[in-house]
Amino acid sequence: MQQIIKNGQVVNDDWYLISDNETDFIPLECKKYILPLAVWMEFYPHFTLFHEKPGLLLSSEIDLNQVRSAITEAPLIVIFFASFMDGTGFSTGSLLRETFNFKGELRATGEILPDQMDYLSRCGFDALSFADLNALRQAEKMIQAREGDKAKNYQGDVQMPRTPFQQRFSKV
Amino acid sequence: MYHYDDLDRDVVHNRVFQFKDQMTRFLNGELSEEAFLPLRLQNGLYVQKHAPMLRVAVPYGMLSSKQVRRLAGICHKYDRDYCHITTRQNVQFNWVEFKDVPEILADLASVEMHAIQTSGNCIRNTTSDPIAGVAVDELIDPRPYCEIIRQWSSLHPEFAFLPRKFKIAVIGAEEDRASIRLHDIGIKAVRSAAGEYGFEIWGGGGLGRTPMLASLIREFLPQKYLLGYLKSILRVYNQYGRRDNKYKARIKILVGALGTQEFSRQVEKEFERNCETDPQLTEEEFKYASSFFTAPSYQILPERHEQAGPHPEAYQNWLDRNVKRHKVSGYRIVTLSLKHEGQAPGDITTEQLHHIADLADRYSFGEVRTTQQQNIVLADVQANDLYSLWLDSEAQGLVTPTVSTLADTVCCPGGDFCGLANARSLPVNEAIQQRFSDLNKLYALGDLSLRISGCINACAHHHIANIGILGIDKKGEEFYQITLGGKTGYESAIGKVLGPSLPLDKVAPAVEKIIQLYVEQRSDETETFSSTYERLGKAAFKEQVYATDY
Ligand code: SF4
Repeated sequence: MQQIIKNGQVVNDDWYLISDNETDFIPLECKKYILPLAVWMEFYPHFTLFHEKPGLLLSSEIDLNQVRSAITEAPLIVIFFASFMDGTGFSTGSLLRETFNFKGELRATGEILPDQMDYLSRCGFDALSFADLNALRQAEKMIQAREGDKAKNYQGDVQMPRTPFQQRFSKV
Repeated sequence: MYHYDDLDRDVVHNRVFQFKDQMTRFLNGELSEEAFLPLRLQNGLYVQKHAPMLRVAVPYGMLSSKQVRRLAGICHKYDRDYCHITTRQNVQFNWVEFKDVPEILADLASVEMHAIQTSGNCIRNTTSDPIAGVAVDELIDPRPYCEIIRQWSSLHPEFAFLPRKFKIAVIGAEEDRASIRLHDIGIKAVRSAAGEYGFEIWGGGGLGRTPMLASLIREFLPQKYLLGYLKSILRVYNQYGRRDNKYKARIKILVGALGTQEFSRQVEKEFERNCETDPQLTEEEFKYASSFFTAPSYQILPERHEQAGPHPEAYQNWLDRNVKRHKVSGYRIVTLSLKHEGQAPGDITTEQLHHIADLADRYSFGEVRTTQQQNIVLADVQANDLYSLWLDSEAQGLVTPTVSTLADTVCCPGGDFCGLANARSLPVNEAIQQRFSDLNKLYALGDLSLRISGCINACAHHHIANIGILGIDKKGEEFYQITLGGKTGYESAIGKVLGPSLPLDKVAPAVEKIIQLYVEQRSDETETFSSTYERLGKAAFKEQVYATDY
C-alpha cells in the first residue's frame, strides 16, 4: 500500500488513483477511487457502482468555476502538479479552500518537493502524495526535525488568515 | 528604520537553517541540481561566470551603519574586498564560495539582513524612493507600506513559484524616483479628495525583451485593502500567466494579451470576493509600521548656514551636483557617488563601506540609502557639515561631482562578470567617459542619463535612459544597440532603437555624435535632451550617427 503524508504524519493510503487513459475502468467493490475529471463526470451524479464516492483528480491549472458541482460533491480532491516549478496549484488549493469552501481532503500530487511541504499545507493541502519514496522519506525526516517547533510566518494563510503585524503591534 | 522583533528574527533564522540543510543535501547528492535551483535562487544565490553570486536584499534601500559595517566584513572575509550596488537597491557579492553561503547568511541575519527572494520566480525586494521621508516633494512616506509589503511577500506560501520574477515599487512623492511604471506592480501612495489615504495601482510594467510601461489599473485603493488587492493581482497572474515560454511569462505579457481592462476586471472580481472576508490592515497597524520611520531628532536650524569659505571649486561643483534640498530647514540630502573614474559603476570597496558607515554615524543619524542610480545617499546631513563631509570623503573617491550627468552611468556588470551577458558593458562606459572627462563639457549638457546593459535582461534599465546601450551577440562578436528617448521621473518613456548595432569601438564615437547634435540643436541651455530628441525626431539623430561613417 502506498504511503502519503496526511496532517503532518506518514499514513497508509487506501485510495486508488485511476489514470486518464484507463478508459474502460469499472470500479471493484470495496475499493476507494480517485478519478480524473472526465472519468468522474461519466459517473456523476449517482456513483451507484461505488462503495464510496470517488475522489476527484484535477490538473493544477483547472478553471475551478467550470467544475463547481464536482467540487461540492467530491469527498477528496487531488491536485496534480506537473512540475515543482509550476506554482499554479498553490493558488488552486488556496482558492478551493477560501472561495469554494472545500472542506474535504485536499491532496497535492505529482512533481512536488519535500521543501514545498510547508507552503502546500499553508495553501490548504492537508495531504501530500510524493512521486517517489525518497521524497517521502525526506519529508518525514523534515517533519521529525522540527517536531514541536511551530513554524513562524510573516503573513497569514488559508489556515490562519491575518495581516503581518496583527498580534505584534499590540505587544509594544 | 525598521527593527526586527522576535517574529522577524525567527523567520530569518529559520530560513538560514533551512537553506543550510538544503545546501548540505545538495552537496551530498540528496537534492538534485534541478530541485536545488529554485531553492537557491529564492535565497539570492546565482551561479555566475567565475563564481557564485549572492544578492542580498536591502529593503527599500535602507541600511544602518551597523549593517554597512557587516557588509564590509563580508566583502573582506568572503569576497574580494568589494561588492556591488544593483539597480534595485540591493547588494551583490560576486566572488563568494558556495560553501560559505550559509555562514554569510547567518552573518547577515545577525544584523537583521537576508537574501530572501532576491532572485527566482517570486516576489522580489520591494523598492522605493531613495530619498523617502526627506524629499521636498513627498506627500506620504512610502516606507511603512514598503515594510508591510516586504513582510507580506516574504516566503508567501502561495506566490513562491510564480511564472516569472515579480517586482513591486512604492512611492509617495510627485517625482517618481523609483520608476514604478517599470514594475510588475507600481504603487503610488496618495490622498483622495476626501482626505482618505490610499493608492494608485499600476500593473504590467517591465523591461527585458518586451519593454512595457505599467498601466493604471486602480485609480484609488483605500489603504486598508492593500494586501487583498496585491493578492488578487498575484492570484490572477499565478493562474493565467504563461509558463510555457520564459520570455512571455512576465505579468506585462498577460496584461498585454488580455488588455488592461480585462486584466483589471479579473483582478477586481477576485478582489471583490476577498475584500471583505480577508483580514484588512487596520489603522493601528499602519501606525505601528509608521512608528519605525519617524523623523530623527532634527535640530532647529536656519535654512542657510554653510561653513565659511573660501572653498575649492571642486567643492562648489559637488554642492551643485551631489547635494539636494531637504524637507527640513538647514538639512541636506547628499549623494555619495560610486562613479569614480576607473571604478565600475556601483562597485564599492570594503574600505569605502567602512568609511560610509563612519560618515553616517558622524553626519546622518547612522543611516544610509542605496539608490537605483547605484549610488549611496546620506539623507540627513546638516548644511554646516557639508564641507567637513566633503573633505572627509574626498580621499575615498566618494565625491565625484557628476550626479545625474552623463557620467552618472548606470551599468550592469555585463560580460566581465555575468554569465548571462552577450557583451561587456564596463569597457563601453569607460570609452564613453574618456570623451566626457572635462567637467565643464559635462556640466554644459545638464542632466542626461546613460544606461548600459550587457544583455536583453536589461538590468541597467537601458530602455528608460535618454541614451541607452544594449550589448548583443552577433556570431560571437560583441555588438551594441543604441536606444534614444527613454525617460523616467515626472514622466516615463521607453527609448527607441536608433539603428543597426555597432561594434565596441564605434559606440563612444556614436554617443559623441548624438551629444553633438543635441548641443547644436537645443533651443537653449535649458532644453533637455528628451525635449530636443522629441522635437527633432529620431531620423535626425540616426542621420547624424549613421550617415557618414557607417
Ligand atoms: S543585463 Fe544581462 S549582462 Fe547585465 S547583469 Fe543583467 S543579465 Fe547580466
